[in-house]
Amino acid sequence: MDNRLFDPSFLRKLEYLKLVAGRLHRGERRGEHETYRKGTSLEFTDYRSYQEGDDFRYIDWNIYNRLDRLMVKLFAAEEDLTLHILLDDSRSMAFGQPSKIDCACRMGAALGYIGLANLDRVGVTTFAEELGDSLPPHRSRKHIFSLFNYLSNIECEGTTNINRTLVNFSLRSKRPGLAIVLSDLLDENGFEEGLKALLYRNYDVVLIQILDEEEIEPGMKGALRLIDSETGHRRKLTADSTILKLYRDRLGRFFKKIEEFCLSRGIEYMRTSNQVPIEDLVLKYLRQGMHLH
Amino acid sequence: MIFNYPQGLFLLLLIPLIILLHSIRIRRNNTRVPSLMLWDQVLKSSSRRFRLKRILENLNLLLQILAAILLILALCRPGFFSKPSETRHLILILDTSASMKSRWNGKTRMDEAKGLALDALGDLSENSEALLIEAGARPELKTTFTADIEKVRGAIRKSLATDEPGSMRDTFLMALSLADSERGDEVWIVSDGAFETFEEIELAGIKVNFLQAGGEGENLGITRFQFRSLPDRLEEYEILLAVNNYTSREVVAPLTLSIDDLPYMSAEVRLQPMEDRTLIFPYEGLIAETAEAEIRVKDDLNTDNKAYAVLSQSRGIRILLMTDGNPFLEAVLELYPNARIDRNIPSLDYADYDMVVFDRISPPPLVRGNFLVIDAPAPEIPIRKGETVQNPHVSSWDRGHPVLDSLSLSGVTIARADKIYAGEGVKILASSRETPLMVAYESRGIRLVYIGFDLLQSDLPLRTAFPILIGNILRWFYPGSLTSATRQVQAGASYPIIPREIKLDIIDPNGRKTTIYTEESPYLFDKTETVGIYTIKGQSTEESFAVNLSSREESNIHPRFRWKQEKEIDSEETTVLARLSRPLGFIFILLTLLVLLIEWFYWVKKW
Repeated sequence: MDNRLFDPSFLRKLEYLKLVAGRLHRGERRGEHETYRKGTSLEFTDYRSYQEGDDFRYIDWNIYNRLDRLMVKLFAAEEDLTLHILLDDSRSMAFGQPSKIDCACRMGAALGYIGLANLDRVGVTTFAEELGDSLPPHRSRKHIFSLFNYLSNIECEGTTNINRTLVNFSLRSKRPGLAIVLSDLLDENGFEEGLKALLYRNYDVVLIQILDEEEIEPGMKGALRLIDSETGHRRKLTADSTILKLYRDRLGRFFKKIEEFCLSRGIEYMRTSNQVPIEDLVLKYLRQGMHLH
Repeated sequence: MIFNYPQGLFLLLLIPLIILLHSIRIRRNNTRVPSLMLWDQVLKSSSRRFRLKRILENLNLLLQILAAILLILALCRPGFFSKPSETRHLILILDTSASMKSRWNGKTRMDEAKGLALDALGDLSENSEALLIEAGARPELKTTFTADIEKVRGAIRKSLATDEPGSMRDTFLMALSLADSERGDEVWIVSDGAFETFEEIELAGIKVNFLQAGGEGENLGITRFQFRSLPDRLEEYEILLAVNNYTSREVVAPLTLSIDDLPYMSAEVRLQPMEDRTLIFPYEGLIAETAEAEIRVKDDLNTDNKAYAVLSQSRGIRILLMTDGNPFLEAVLELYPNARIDRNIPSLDYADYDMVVFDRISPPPLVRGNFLVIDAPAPEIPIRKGETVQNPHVSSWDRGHPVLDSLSLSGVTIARADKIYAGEGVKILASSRETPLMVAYESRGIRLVYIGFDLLQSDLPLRTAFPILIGNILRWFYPGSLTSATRQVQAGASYPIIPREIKLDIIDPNGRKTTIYTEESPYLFDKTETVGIYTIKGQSTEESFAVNLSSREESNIHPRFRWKQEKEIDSEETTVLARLSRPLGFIFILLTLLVLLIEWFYWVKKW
């Protein structure tokens, strides 16, 4: 990864962006975010409808008695945010020009930088078939160099198992926060279980899917032998207009599945290709999210 | 459908080669992809339509095989075997030769032939066409192909047998030239079969039917009747008579000979079956005009029981000689005892003379007549004189021309000759390398021989060729002028008339008159279908000539032509030979191109 892409003016811009979490999290030190936590020592702020899984102790029985509706009390306290950058470093991410891992690392570096600038804790964990070595969450701007260093040394290896790795991550981490998952999601075992595990563990999840342009619009034709870059499996294929049409159709259905899943779970989902400049992506696409303002 | 070249079907063995070429492992490019996750789904989903996919994947192969099959079938020359259509095209040959006058079962063979021909037309369906040719001495087309069968019937009814010898071979060849074998035309010969079989009928490749008119017949005939004068003996002649017995029995035939309507001789001639006897009789005396020979027998054909001869006793040859003196020329001309020579008499009408000679004297403008012009320009004749050529040698001469018949001009020495520029209508008879030396011209009533050098400056008059040349010239101008001869032709042949008048009436033995207006000399009169004496009458001239059958082949009225069961073309064979199986090769080729186009289009669309 080339750090020179992050010129000082861009970094200064990023400093003024703020990450806003979808939910409030309990933190060790006072940060710049509000977080929602269920508890009596906190300031009561609001009611909301009961949802499955809420602690019965916070049901307001008076409202129930009056309105015959189940409502829970909400308490607010400002707390800092832990930004967990989860980066897919399986072999499939090495594909493309520039490679997807390159884009993911830049994205991770940019988001990490923003987080650190906002006094958030930022940590990075890679995942492929297993969870990789992590850069534990740290606050302070000095952590930026560790972050960039970590990201620039990432090598793509192994196959992908999003579900298992994200489940393991969710179990391991003691401090949920905002989980930004950077992956191409090309895992035949799926991704839903992994993301659900994160949600269950109270993470706010942002899913950024990075694909190579060739994956979105394959230009291949003729008699081919496709080789999976992760597994090495081979398939014979004669790419003609019919096959390519079928592929685009399948790809569309895949995207739609991801969108529907994320929408139903309240997961922010963005899809990009390696041809979109990272700067534009961070500024334009992330600004559309709820996390920056 | 049939295949005219079924051996081509062996090419279908090449089809496996096409399949083999397709089955050769396609070289695939190795392509790394991030993941096969989506591609597996694609492959799985496409395999659901496995059968159709396999077909579509192999559609190019299938189309190529189809194209190969169509092309191979096209090479096998396919066609539809079509049944003969109801519409027929019939060429009817009706024999009108002399033998058709033979009597058989109370009527003539011609009557029966006409009935058979009319019956043959009766079987024709609507839209069929027929054509009628009469086979006499020459084939004569009486109708062209017409669907108006009644018109053909009318022509048949009008047909009459002639006294001419037939030429069935020539008529059949004419019929073949009019027939369309691909259309299935048929030739029907209606005849008594009294002619020899000819090979062309077997090689015709077309359906030929023969309808026999009449049966066997018995005939005695005079096949030759000639008078010949004895050389150097005036008024002494030999009469030659040939009589043939074409019966199966010995015959004693009374023979009579009349000259100038006066009986001259009668005798009995005994002839064995199929015997040919030539009789020669001497005759001494004057002959004014005609002779007639007759055999009085009862046979089936009367036409050749009589023969006629018209004597042309050598009358005087009138020659006008315009010369300053040419002893050689005068000596040759005076050799002819019947030559009357006038010298240097200016004449207004050279047509009065049989030959006018201008020897080194320029003739006036020539209108009509026969001229020998020697070394003098002749105005209004397209022969122009040029510069003088010294010592020309005769390098070539036209041996086929009557003027140069039986003579040689080799080695003739000529001191000088004027160059001749021959115009239109002038025929070169002899020439040297430098110039024509002798030419002939005939046009508009003028016959002219031009010699381009002075005879006195050449050794030609001293050679034996010279009197032959002069005699040839005289005979060319006026055939028969030099000797006594019988004026006769065979029935159907043309008689050469030397017209001394522009308008002449020719009366045939039946009294029918034909008027001719001609300046041609000779005029070929061809309406000689009746045996007998013909009279040529002008305003101031009258002469006669005779027409006889004079044909051994025609007098033999036995049917000799064989064309029935043993030679008839088998119907199946006829179908193959005469009926064209409608060719489909072109359609197969078009289909091949169409399939290849579809295959190309599919291949392009696929990629």
